[in-house]
Amino acid sequence: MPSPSRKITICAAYTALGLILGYIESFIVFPIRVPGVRIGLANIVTVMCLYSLGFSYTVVVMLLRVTLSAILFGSPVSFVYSLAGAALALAGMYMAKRLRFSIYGVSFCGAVLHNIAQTAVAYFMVSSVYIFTYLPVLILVGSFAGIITGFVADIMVRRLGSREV
Amino acid sequence: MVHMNKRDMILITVIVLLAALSYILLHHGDGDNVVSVYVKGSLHGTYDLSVPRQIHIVGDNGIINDIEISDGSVFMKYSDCPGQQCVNTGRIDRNNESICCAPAGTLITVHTAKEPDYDAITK
Repeated sequence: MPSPSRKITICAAYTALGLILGYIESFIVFPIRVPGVRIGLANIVTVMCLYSLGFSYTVVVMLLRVTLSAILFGSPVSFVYSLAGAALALAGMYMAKRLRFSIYGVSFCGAVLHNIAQTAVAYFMVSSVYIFTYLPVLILVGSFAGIITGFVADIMVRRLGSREV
Repeated sequence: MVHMNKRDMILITVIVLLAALSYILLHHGDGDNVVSVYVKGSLHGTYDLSVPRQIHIVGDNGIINDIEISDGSVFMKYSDCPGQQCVNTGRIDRNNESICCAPAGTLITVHTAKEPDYDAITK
């Protein structure tokens, strides 16, 4: 088991990695006429953290990443969206991991729940049920992205996990 | 290399199928190009947007609504109501747009392939 200071350092590295991935992602524009479609690159870090440091450290990393990201690149509105998405995704991924899904299933749950939470927030913001007509598309794209990010997180956990953390 | 286990496969398949099914259910009426008129909460009629016609309605409080369908769009031509908001809404032709005359209890909604324009999209 790594020492507490080592864990804190790793948390900081994950937060920085999550921030930069989220920032890079904001430059990727999908040629689809559906607002809110994104890959969820930062999800890779959340999955990695969940597998290497456990749930409580991941909550801290997630809160730091979402807060800093809103301060640096976002707005109060984007903060609400990302917090809702990240919180529900993390809760779901924790449950999925406990239910003995593999890293693919865990990442998939995260991606899908992230989209559901953000759509729900959008519903409260604009109070129009038609927002939910976007959800199936978001879930389909999110499923694909979730499996890919699970694949990447698996490689990363494998490369880093065994020796370093 | 971790491979997906059976649970993953089942979960992913179920969710993807559900999403695909609801997508089909939600969008299968998209190309309909119709206008639905509701009076006092019940459907008064569904009309083809491409066929010009006039619809005369006597709604709540005896308020008269004259709706006109022409040029692939619909508008409230005349209304007895005090506010005239329905008349001022103008022509509508984009999907899920609606005209409402609250005093008469009339709601006009269009279902077309034309998607609405957004005022703004936030990230």
